[in-house]
Amino acid sequence: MDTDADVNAATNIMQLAHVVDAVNKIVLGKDHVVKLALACLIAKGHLLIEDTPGVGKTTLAHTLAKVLGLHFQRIQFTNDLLPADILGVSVYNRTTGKFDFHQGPIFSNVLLTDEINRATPRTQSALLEAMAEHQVTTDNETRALPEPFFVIATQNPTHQIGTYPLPESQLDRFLMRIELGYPDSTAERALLNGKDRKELLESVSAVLTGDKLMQLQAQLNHVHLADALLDYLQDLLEFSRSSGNYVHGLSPRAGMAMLNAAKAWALIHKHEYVLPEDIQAVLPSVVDHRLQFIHEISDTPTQQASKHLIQHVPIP
Amino acid sequence: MATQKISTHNIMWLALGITLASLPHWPRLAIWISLLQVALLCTCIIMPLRLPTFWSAQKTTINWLRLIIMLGSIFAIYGHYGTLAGRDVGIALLVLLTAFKIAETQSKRDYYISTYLGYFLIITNFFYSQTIPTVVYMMFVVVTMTVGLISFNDTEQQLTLSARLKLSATLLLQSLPLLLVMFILFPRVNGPLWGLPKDAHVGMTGVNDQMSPGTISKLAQSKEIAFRVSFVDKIPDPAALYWRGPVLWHTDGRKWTTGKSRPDPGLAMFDYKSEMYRYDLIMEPTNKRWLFGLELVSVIPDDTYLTYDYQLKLKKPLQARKLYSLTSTSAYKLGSGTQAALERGLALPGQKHPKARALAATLRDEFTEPALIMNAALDWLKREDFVYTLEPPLMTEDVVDEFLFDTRQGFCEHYAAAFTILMRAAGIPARVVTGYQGGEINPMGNFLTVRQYHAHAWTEVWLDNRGWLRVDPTAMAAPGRVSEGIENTLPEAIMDIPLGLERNAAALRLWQQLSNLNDMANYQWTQWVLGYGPNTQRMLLHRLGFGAVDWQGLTFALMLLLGVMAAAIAAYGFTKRPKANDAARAYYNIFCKLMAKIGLPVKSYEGPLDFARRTAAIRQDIGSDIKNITDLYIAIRYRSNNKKLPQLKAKIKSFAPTKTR
Repeated sequence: MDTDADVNAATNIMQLAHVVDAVNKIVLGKDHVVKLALACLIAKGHLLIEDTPGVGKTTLAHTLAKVLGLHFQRIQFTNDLLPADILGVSVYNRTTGKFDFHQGPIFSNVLLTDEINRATPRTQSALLEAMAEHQVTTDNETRALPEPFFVIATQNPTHQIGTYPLPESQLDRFLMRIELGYPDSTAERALLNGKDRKELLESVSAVLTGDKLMQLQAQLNHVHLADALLDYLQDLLEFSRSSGNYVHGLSPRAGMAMLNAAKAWALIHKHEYVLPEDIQAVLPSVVDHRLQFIHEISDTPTQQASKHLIQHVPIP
Repeated sequence: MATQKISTHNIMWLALGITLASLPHWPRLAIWISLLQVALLCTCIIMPLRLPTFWSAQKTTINWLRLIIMLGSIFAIYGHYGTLAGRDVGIALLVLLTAFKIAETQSKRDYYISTYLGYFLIITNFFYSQTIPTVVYMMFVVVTMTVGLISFNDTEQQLTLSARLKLSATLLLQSLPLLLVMFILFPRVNGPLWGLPKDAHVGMTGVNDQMSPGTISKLAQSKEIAFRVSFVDKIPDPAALYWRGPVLWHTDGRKWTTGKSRPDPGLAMFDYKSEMYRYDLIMEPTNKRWLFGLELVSVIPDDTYLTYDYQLKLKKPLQARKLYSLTSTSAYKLGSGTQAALERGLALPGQKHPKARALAATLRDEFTEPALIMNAALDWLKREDFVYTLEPPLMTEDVVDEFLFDTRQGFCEHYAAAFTILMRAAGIPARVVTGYQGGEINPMGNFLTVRQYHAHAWTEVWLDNRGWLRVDPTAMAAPGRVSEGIENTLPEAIMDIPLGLERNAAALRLWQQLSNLNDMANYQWTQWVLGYGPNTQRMLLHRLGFGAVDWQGLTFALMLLLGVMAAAIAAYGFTKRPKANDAARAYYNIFCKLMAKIGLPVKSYEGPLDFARRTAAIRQDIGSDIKNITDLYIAIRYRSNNKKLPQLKAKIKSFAPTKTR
């Protein structure tokens, strides 16, 4: 039994490499970001992709869902979108005389919420329960969502017009926020030369299944995390809280997020133990959307918060 | 936790510890006690294993049975020893009752009580023996007992046997500083803190206050140590090593005793220009009051006094090994020559020893002058064929006459007794002095060991202008006895050479060196550990720079030091505990320092892998070393693979990068 499970675990890890390869064929030149996104999903976290329009946010989300073999739904958020549009509605059935619940797009494995910050806060909040509890409550009735369940959201930078910035409580529920950035010149050339991404996406086949993904998530428990690294994590949290450089310190949830993301990162890199480098690799995407410099020294953009943190906490 | 089940495995450890602790007691105990102990220990191990259902079902019956046997054996001990008080009985009771306690051990509390009884049993061995081998063995038993305790508390059975042994030994070692502080500073009192039971001093051998043919030759067969002496300057000539003991005045023709003492000033005049010897004498306990000083003691310690015939005596019988500092002067004139003393020195037993008296009469008639008579008698002893032997033929009638004129074989007591009788018969006051003569010089420690086989008897003769003069008639028959020592005169009697060694010179020499070494270790042990009394303590504290410290001061210092130690341990406990893998970090820090020296310092926030990649790219010549060290470090610190620690240590040690370019 044990050995079977071990073999299974090993093949799962091998397949992770195929997942990364498959996504890299569609989203060119973004290996690091792709791996981060994958780590986020293995760590059971929701993913926020933020960047200017047209750099491939939706393509990445779409590709990930497809390669992982998950059932996905997509909602384009607009400012007139209502919670019921996401969660579903109860409709009176004449023949039975009862209200029938019509499931909204949230009842899926992966919910792609495009341009999440274009919806009003009311609609954004409708996602809160679903993201934290993996369940939806409407009309006094609580309905479980399918497992695994992720929200992959994309958003435009907040300074663009027609956006409602996500509240901090909502941001904290995203395990990672990643940015794609412009492709480098070779990737850009390949992109321009190659086929249309939409067409390519059609041809992508699933590498994993939902079950396999859940197995991988369970495997995180077996990744070895030395006490020395727990010290390091605690030192990082402590510094964020007591150094006086940030508006708020990192929450315990952020600490858990770092821990799980680092384990997932280690798994993707095929080692069954976590290194300080793993924590540092995932740190910016986990921390930057939660951490804000205090105004006095915040002439530098928030992007620098994680860098500042890393450089000021020695590895024990 | 309170209802933790005591497994048979735990009982086995306990039984092993108890057995080892009582092993040295077995020869001293009545045989049935040892047998009952073993039987009880075996039952409580075998029964639950072989007949578990019976064992648990018949608990009440077994308990009653155990109670009856226990009461019975207490009665039997009382019957055997005739008392329930004293050292031997106490230990017999302890040995048996501990076995009974183990037999009824069911709860955690029982187990701990049994273990502590076991530790106590270990201590009781020191009532009988305080030698180095005993201490080493008892340390081993302590480790075994502690392994039992560790196993008992290792409920998950996570530790291997060697890990438990190591932990136990570590605990013992960690207790050493505490032991040292307690040993050095604990206030010492003169003599034992509480009196040892009377029976502790039964059967001690040594020079006694009476002498008859055979007493000293019997002593000469014992290798037991009488006392040890270390001289401040140099060791005197062997021929001068007369250790004065009881002075015997009275004889019934066979037995010599001190007789009734009479008040008479003990007077000695010393020539202080002559050689003086200062020395420390460590007496083994004798349960008697004599202290054997070198002839003649001129400065005596506090708790001693001199009798009129210059016996150095203690105020109380010596029941524990003790160190005395003495000074002796080699040139002296002894005795005041009062009428009473001279008369006692002439007393002869009734009409005994007719032949000896006849010989004395002819000598007196021929020479008249006491000094000349004495020399003539000595000459006569030298001239005739006297044999010095440990096994003289049995003399039944008149000991002196038979020895002087028939058998002519004897040990020193025969010579001393016969010569004293001769002198008295010739009208010269004389007395017998017993004690020790000679001593083994240990070349490694510059000290003397005087053993029972150095026991000796000689004569003191009163000459008007010389006082009481020492005359050793044994030296007439066996000159070597005094000048070369008994070891060379009668080697077969005392040398303890292992079989087959006498033919191999090199092996013999090695044997002698080893026994010298052993002797020296014992001497140091005796002087510094067993002989560590109030005087030594005062001396040591003085040397350490503390002035006169009384026992209150010592107690205060002891409390203070123990308090400081406890505080230090507590402080250590409260400070951030070093992580389990800290050794790896320490080695890695050394590595980082070495790298910094060649211009590649690590950043505080740089992970080991990043650092290795960065530096290996710059210094490809040592790239593989960097990679190896980093891999090992990661394995130990981040994968908790501690077995690789020695490898990392070795790698770091051999890693010596140099600056290039």
